[in-house]
This record gives sequence, structure tokens and C-alpha cells, in this order.
Amino acid sequence: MIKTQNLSFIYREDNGVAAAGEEAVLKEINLKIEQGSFTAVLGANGSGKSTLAKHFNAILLPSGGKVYVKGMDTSVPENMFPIRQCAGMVFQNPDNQMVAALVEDEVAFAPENLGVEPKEIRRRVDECLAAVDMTKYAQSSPSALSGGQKQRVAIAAALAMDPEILILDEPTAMLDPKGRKEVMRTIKTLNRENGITAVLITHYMDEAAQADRIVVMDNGKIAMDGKPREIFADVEKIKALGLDVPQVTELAHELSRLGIKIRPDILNVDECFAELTRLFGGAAND
Amino acid sequence: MLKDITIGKYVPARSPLHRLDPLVKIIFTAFYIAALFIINKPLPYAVFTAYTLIIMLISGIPVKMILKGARPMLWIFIFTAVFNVFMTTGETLWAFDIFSLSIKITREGVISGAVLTVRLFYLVIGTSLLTLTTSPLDLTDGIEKLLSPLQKIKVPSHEIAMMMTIAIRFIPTLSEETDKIMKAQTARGADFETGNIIRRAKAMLPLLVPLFISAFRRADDLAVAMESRCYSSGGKRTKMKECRFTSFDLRAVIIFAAATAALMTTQYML
Amino acid sequence: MIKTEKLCYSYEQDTPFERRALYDVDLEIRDGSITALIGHTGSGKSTLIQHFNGLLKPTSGKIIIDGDDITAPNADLKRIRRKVGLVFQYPEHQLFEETVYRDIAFGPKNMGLNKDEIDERVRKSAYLTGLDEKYLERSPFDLSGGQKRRAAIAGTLAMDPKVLILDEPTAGLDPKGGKDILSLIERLHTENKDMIIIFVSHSMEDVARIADRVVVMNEGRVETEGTTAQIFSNPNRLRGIGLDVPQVTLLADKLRSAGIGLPDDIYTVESAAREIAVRLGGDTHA
Repeated sequence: MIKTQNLSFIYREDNGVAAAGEEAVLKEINLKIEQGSFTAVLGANGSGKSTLAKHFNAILLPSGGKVYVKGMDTSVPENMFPIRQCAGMVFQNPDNQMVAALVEDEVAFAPENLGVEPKEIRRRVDECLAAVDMTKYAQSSPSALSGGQKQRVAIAAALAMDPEILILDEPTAMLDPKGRKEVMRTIKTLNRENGITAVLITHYMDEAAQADRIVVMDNGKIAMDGKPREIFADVEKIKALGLDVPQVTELAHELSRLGIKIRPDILNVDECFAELTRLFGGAAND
Repeated sequence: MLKDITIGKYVPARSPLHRLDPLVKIIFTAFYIAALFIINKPLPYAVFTAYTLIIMLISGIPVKMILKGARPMLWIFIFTAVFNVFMTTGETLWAFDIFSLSIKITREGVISGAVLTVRLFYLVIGTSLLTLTTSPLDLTDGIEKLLSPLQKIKVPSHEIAMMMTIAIRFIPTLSEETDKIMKAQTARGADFETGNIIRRAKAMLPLLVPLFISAFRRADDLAVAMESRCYSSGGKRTKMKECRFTSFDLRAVIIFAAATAALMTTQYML
Repeated sequence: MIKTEKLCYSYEQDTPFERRALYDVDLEIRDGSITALIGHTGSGKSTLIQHFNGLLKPTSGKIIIDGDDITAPNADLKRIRRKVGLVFQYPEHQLFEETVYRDIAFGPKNMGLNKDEIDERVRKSAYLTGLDEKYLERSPFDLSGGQKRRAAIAGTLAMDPKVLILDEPTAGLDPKGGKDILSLIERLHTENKDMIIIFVSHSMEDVARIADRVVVMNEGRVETEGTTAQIFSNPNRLRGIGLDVPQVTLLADKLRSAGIGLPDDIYTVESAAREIAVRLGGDTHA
């Protein structure tokens, strides 16, 4: 779906050479995102994860190397619109990405830009609002919505281009726990039921734990890449990268440090509970 | 206070005013303002007030909310009124001396003070009604259509319209932001309320830096978000809701024309 | 000590848009405590804290700080604001001066202190917030996200407040940045035993880590309050009003329901690990 080849990026550059005092934000990144997958990208502030995301829909173009979206080279100008149509993007601040004063007009904005027939726009708007469970609010003003609802509208607005990939750049960073859950549920449903390839950039470990794959960025490079279970099992490395692990994963890590033989790759409360009841059961049988 | 500004806010509703073609509404507003500055007799003012009331009532927006939009302008109204009352020469109604200044209040002063204040007030009400009942995107449409004849002489009408829409769309956001920054600085001992004008203006300076930075950051975010959704200024756009001049608009235009004629009759014939 | 008596507040009072935000809030916050204020968006947390330094005036009811009724008509608001420092959400968005030094000096300058006193305050606050002196002469806009936030907090600390209130101090930071801010709050607490620290948070992990008391707000009222252990010993009550609890609290609750005897004040990874390890025969001295 998305492939990067030795992707490098420098904000101020001259023919691929960094301007004085400038360091590359992305350094020779090779990454492949599979169709239908759900990938979370983690990394401390300044690790380059947002910069990477902006390469996936040709908002930024590589200083060195290539990015291919569905085989289309992002550096070819003619590919810009097909790429953006294919890779929809949702941003952090819900207020700063809204153009329209009515929810349904917001969702219609992208297909209108693409020159889609009015009837087809109407159909897509209705379908996308239903997909994020916001049909009820079609006639509302975005300013009247909660943070989670606004982000769901932003997702619908990207879906209206009929994309195959959804790139979400910290969509939950400014939301409360309830809003975060709404957005996560929406992303997972779209990924599982509608087959949308999802790339989620986040600071929240519990959100990353729900993906099929985690890519950890550090200082412009990929520091770790694997299944959440494998990534979080390495508590020390994750912490050294300025990140965290879910509390129960850390608990398992602590327990094994205290001499308890517990699985190190626990991801959520249910798994931890099952593992501990097994251990307690065993202890009771001794 | 800043949050009270209603210019730039849009309130969705299903009123006849909301349904009207935005181009028609913009033209109506222009006529409304022109008429406001033409009339100068009590009877036309009474008729004009009645018109305004009717429009407010059919707008589907609570009258109190429309009136509240005028509240931040209160000081401008008072200043205009006072300035005119004291500065206009004519038939003396009342004269008195303060220190060595002799102050005269004239009949003409009172009238012109009142007239100007009323005009300003209706100006705010009229423009508020336009933005309250027209979504910014529709407003863009209207402005674009209004400017479209100029496209022949290479005026980028769509870009101008889009620019205006975004500016209007950001007014409420930025006024909220100003409120927030003011509070934060008040909490750090800044004083926006006491002292003379120069002191207060000086206290305002620290507000402007974060406000501008925020405006630029938001603008940048919005630009990226729009580009991500395939917006391009030269692109060929379609509209989900095509604004067509309907029979409803035609009826509105006829009613409006008749009303304007009646108003002008009261001004010039009676 | 901060005390509120039957505090009520309505936005846009006497207009058709009147919205009640606080109902009969009775609270006592003791000197030297770190109190967390938790609750949904719209539960009244932010409205409440703006009352503590007179930015909002109650519709009815009283607020008494150290015996001073700050709601009295003749209350000296300037003095109150010196005593009660308020750090808003995303405070770094309000930085405005050319240098970090001048930004921190804004408060003390408004207080009318002389140059030497201002200098002392600026350096002390920079030290307290862990900002290296070398940053003082830099533009605030050249700092990283976490550093900017610390500079903004330093700006409030420079007023030498007796009460420090922070609205979502870790929001939007990466895990390490967030932890740094929490450590900063803990350090302030140890350096100044009498200071009252109040913080609003959506992160139960943060609350569990540093708060000694918790006030739970729900729909404009105080739902419940108590020590952190008391509040988290009843996770179902919090979940009942749609709030989260730390993962380990949830886990401990599940284990207890399954008949495993655990104390009911487990809310940090460390305490959970210790208690579970003891019962599983681990080496708790490791």
C-alpha cells in the first residue's frame, strides 16, 4: 500500500544537503505498510513521526529517497491528487481542520474539490456520516459537537474521498478519555469491517496496543518494528526511547523482576487477569 | 465580552431566511444598508424598524441573540451619540458652563446624534442577520457569484471569496482565544481594566503576540487539512447543494422590491 | 486552606443561554496537599478552578482562602491572584516575550518588584522547573514542547504563589514530557511543604502517581472526594459516572472479585507488584 525507500527529509535544504545547523528529520527510512493493516506509529516529540505521516499523502516530498502510495511515486506532480484521494488524513486539532459551518458540508468539501457529481456527493456524505455514527448530527454546526464527535466528522470528511488508507496524526491528543474511546472504536471498525488500511500516530500506549503492528520512531529513524506484544515486552528499551508501556505490561515486567514466572507479553487487563488467576490457581494447588 | 460578538457566527436553522439564495441575501443586505443611509425622516424610520423586526422574527434566531451582537458596540454607539450632541451647531436647547468652557446642546445635535446611533445599530443588526443565517460556505458562494462578472478581467473571485469565508470562520475561534489569553495574563497580574488609555493599550500588546502566533498556526493547520482533501485554488469544484435561483427566491425578491418601494414612498412622497 | 461554601455558578446569567455550571460546591482543600480534580469534560472542573483566583465570580456562595473571603465585594483581586497561581491548559500557547527570561519576569514585573527581586524570582523559578539557565536568554519559541510548558509554569511560579493550580498539565505531551511535569510537581511539593497544589487531569495514571487527595466532579457537583486510596478503592463508582480507573486498580478489583485477597488501595504499578508478588511467593526484596 505504502512503501518508502531510503526516505530522508530535511526542512531547510539545498539539493538534498542540509542547510547550516539543520539536521535531517527523517533518515533513510525503509518501511512497507500492507493493505488492510492497522499500524501504530509511536515516538517521542521530535522523533519525526508527524513528518513521516505527511509524506504518505504528498503534503511533504522527500529530500532523498522515494515514497510510493499504491505504486504511485509521490514526487511526480501528476500523482499528487490521486495520492491524496487514496490516502485520507486526519489531524490533531479538531477545530483547525474544519472548513465548513455545517457537519454535512464539511464532509462534502473533499468530494466537491474532486469534482464529484452532486448526487454522488450526497450519497457519499450520508454513507460516511453513517460509517462514523454521526448521521444524527448532519445538520449541526461543528462547534456544537464534543471533541470526539468533531474528530469523527473529520474522519468522515476524509472517508468521503473514498480512500483506501486513513492516516491519523495524533487524532486523540486533544480529547478526553470518552472522546478517545469513540475515535479508537471508529478507527477499528473502519479497519476491520470496511478494510481501510489505518496508520495511527499516537502518544497513548493503550491505543497502540490495539494495532496489529507498532513502528517506533526515534530521532528520525525506525527504532523498533513489530507486533505490539513483541514491542511492549521490551519494557527497558521502550522506556529508554522516552515512551511507556501499558500499566499491566509494566506490572508483569515488575513481577518477573520479583521472581514470579509470568508471561512478559501481556497487553491488556483481561490477559493479565487470566495469567494471574492461572498463577494464583497454581499457587493454591501447591 | 469578546465572546458576545455575533458577526461571523452562523446559527443553523430552517427559516425562510436560511433558505434564501446567498447571492440574493447579500444583495438584500446591500440594499438594506443603502436604504438605512438614505432615509432621514421619522415615518420611514418607523417603517424601517418594522421591516427589521419582521426579518428578525422570520430569521428563526432568538431576537435576544441578535440584539446581543450589538452589545460589544455599545461604547461606539454612546461615543457617536455624545460626540454629535455636543459638537453640532444649531438651535440651542440647553447651555451651561463648566469651568471656562461654555457647552451648548443643540436641537440639531440631538437629532444627528440619535440618527447616527440608530444607523450604526441597524448596520450591525443587518450584517449580523446575514452571517447568522448564511453558512460561511454559502456566503463564499454568494460572494463568488457576485464577483464572477469580474473574472473576465482576471479577478480571482473564488480565491477572494474563500479568503473572506475563512476569515469570518475564524472570528469566533480567535475571539475565544483572546479571551483565554487575557484570562491567563490577568492571572499573572496583568491589568486590562484600570488606568488611562495608553496604559490599557500597552497592556494589550502582550496579547497580540500569542494571538497572532495562534492565528498563523491555525491557518497553517487548516491549509494542510484543505490540501489533504484535494483542495486547489484552480481546481474545478462541484457543489453538493447547488444554489439555484428558485421560485421561492423570486417571490422573496418581489416582496423585497415592493417593501423597498413602500419605504422610499414614505421617505419622498409623504 | 481553601474553602468553598455552597458555590454556584451560571454562564451567561439572566440570558436565555444561561447554563448552570456549578451547583452548591462545598470543598475544603488543606495546606500542603496535592489535590487532583477529575471528571468529564463539562463537569465543571475548569469553571471551579477559575473561581479560586477570582477570574470568575460565583453567582452565589463563598470562597475563603486562608480566612480571606475572596468573594467579598471589596476583595483585593490583585493580591489574591498573587497568592493563587493558575496555569491554564496548553500554557505554552500564551508565551509572548522575546526571551524566556522576560516571559517569566512578566508576573513579578506586574507586581512592581525591583530588578534584583525580579532576577532572583526568575532564576529560582527556572531552577524549580528544571529549566537550565542557558535557556533563559533564548526565545521561548526555540524550546521543545516540554521545555515551553516548563517555562510557562515558571512564569506562574515567579509570582511565588501559595496555591498553584494547573489545568491538565500533561495534556498533549509525550510520555516522557508528561512524566517530567509530574516530577516537577512532586519536587515543588517537597520543596514547599505548605503549598497547595491542585491539578485537573483526565489521566488516572497521573492522578494515582502524584495526588494525595482526589475530588471527583460530575455535572457541576462534587460527586465524591477523599484520599487517592479511598477514591480508587471503589472503581465501580468512578466507572458508573463514565470515568476511567488505572489499569492496575481495575485488575486488582477483578482479582478480588475472583476471591484473591488483595488490599483495596492498589492504584500504582509498584503497590500492585508488591502485593501480588508477596502472595505468589516472589522475592519482594529484589
